[in-house]
Amino acid sequence: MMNRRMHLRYGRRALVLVAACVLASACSTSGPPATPLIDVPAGFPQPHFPEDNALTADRIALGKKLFYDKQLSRTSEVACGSCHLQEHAFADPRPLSIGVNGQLGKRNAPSLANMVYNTSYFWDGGVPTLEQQAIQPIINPLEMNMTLGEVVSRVSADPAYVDMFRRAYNSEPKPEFVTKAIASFVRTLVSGRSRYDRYQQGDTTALTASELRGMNIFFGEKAECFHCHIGFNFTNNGYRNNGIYATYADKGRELITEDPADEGKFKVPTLRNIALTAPYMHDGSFETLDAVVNHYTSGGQQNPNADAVIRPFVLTPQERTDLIAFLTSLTDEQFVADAKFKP
Amino acid sequence: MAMIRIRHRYQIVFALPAALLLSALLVAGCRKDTPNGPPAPAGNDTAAVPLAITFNAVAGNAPFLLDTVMTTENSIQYKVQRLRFYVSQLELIDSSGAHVPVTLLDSAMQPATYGIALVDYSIRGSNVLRVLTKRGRYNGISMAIGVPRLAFDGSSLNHGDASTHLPPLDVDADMYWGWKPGYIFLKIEGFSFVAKQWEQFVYHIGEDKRMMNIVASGSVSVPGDSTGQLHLKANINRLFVTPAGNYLPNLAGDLADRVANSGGPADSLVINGQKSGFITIQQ
Repeated sequence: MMNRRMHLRYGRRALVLVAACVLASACSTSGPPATPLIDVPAGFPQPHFPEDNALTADRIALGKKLFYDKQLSRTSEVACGSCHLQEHAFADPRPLSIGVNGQLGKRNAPSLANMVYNTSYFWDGGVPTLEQQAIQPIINPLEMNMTLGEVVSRVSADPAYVDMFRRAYNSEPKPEFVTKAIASFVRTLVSGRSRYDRYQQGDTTALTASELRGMNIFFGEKAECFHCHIGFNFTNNGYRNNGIYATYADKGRELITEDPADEGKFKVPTLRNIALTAPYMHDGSFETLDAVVNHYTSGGQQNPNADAVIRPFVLTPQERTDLIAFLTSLTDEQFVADAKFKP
Repeated sequence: MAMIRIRHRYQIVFALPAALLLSALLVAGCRKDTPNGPPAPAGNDTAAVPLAITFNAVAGNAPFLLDTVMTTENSIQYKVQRLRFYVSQLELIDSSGAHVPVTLLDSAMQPATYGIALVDYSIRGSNVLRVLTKRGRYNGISMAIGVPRLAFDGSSLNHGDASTHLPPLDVDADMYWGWKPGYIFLKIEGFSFVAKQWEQFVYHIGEDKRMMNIVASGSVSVPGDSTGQLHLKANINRLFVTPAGNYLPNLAGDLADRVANSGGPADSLVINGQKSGFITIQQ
């Protein structure tokens, strides 16, 4: 009986071993990476990836090349990286981005930090995946004004690109792999190594006294910032009308839901690297953090959809200084200097 | 013991091929280049016969022509620059009222991948749909102007990743909302004469709730040879008349009436398309 058990065990092991090798290699054209493709910061959850676009080094490399390639725009003037600048945590320092032929966009280009954790994309959250998100800037007449067919045509003329597509997706260039590759690169833009994070991990010297006081204001019931800007990424991934206008020219979330109760609601953005991502709000209408704090302490404009937490409150000059100091401590210097994100 | 050894060898003999088969299946599953195909032609193969379905666009009693002045039923002059719509879910209706599926063919005369055609009046011939169906006499036809939520294989279609879709659902068909992933079912753009000048109108209709489900009644004959023809009249003017006889959306109205992809104007276009005789059978 002992022998029978051993035979059965070895037989099963043989099947399991072979099947495991198959499973490990089935959806990837690369072997296991020597270093993690995403260096997940302490306290951050492990990111999830779509089943049909597993993350590989080749896909990230292709995506980065596409991200910085101005050929993706009709006039070869604009790349993704033209409006998402690493030194600004992949946000745009201009209120509204400028597309091909000098055309002005309609919203402020947000930071791309930690998009891998987002559940929807764009300020109104209309797009559910990063792959689908990658389509819109390319085809938007105000941004790149391209067709996916023309993008494929251009990259297909470059042998280096053809080789990269083959390595990444075992395919010639196709629209599907353009968007999948860009999504792959964007998923690697993870930021969570600020001084605030070091404090969270036990380094009690990481924050100044002013920043610590600001942290208590941020998470306190007077300013109530944390009700929306909560969790490891400082966002509840929800949509809020924060009363910056009495009447919104841009209807925001209502454009997606067609619900008038959503008029003027926009995605709650991450506050990570917030000191680097001015100007603020969906339309870049506030130039400084001081202006943002002024808005919230004022209670904003009268708007029927304004969130209940938007109401006037008073900060002393010192409290205001402390709160802004805390927001500044959310800057991840390593992220904005990281060579692996550069062109 | 001999029995046990033999069973063990069988386990190894079967384990490796099983794993290789698993490998092939997994690799095939991860490298899906084309979506699952449409269902087999309606009826059995020997019974499936061709039928050409033509969407003849008119503006009332006048022929419909792009960039040409036409007149609505409430006497508003308008001219259309673009008119495109997706046709899906085509079925013939037999004498018992039962719906008989038809198989839409693509330009290569193969079953269309998604069972959907894009009618674009700037592309000659795109208003003629080739289908296979059963011979016989029918009492009408039903269809949807729109893209179904799900594909034949159950995957997401209307809201799926359009960069993975083939024509006519490719992004470059210019019928896709990148900001709210989903297809524009019907696009009609042009100019209407408002207050002594030409003003732009733009209607883009989409979203699952705005599938335009149309039933056109009338005699349809599908002979058992290659001569089958069904001519449908697509009366653009009827898109702007409600079932109650009101004129909505108002082509001569303000900007919110003339430029819409949601709300009242969009809903009116869908209801009119379904109930005001937009698509009828030409006898």
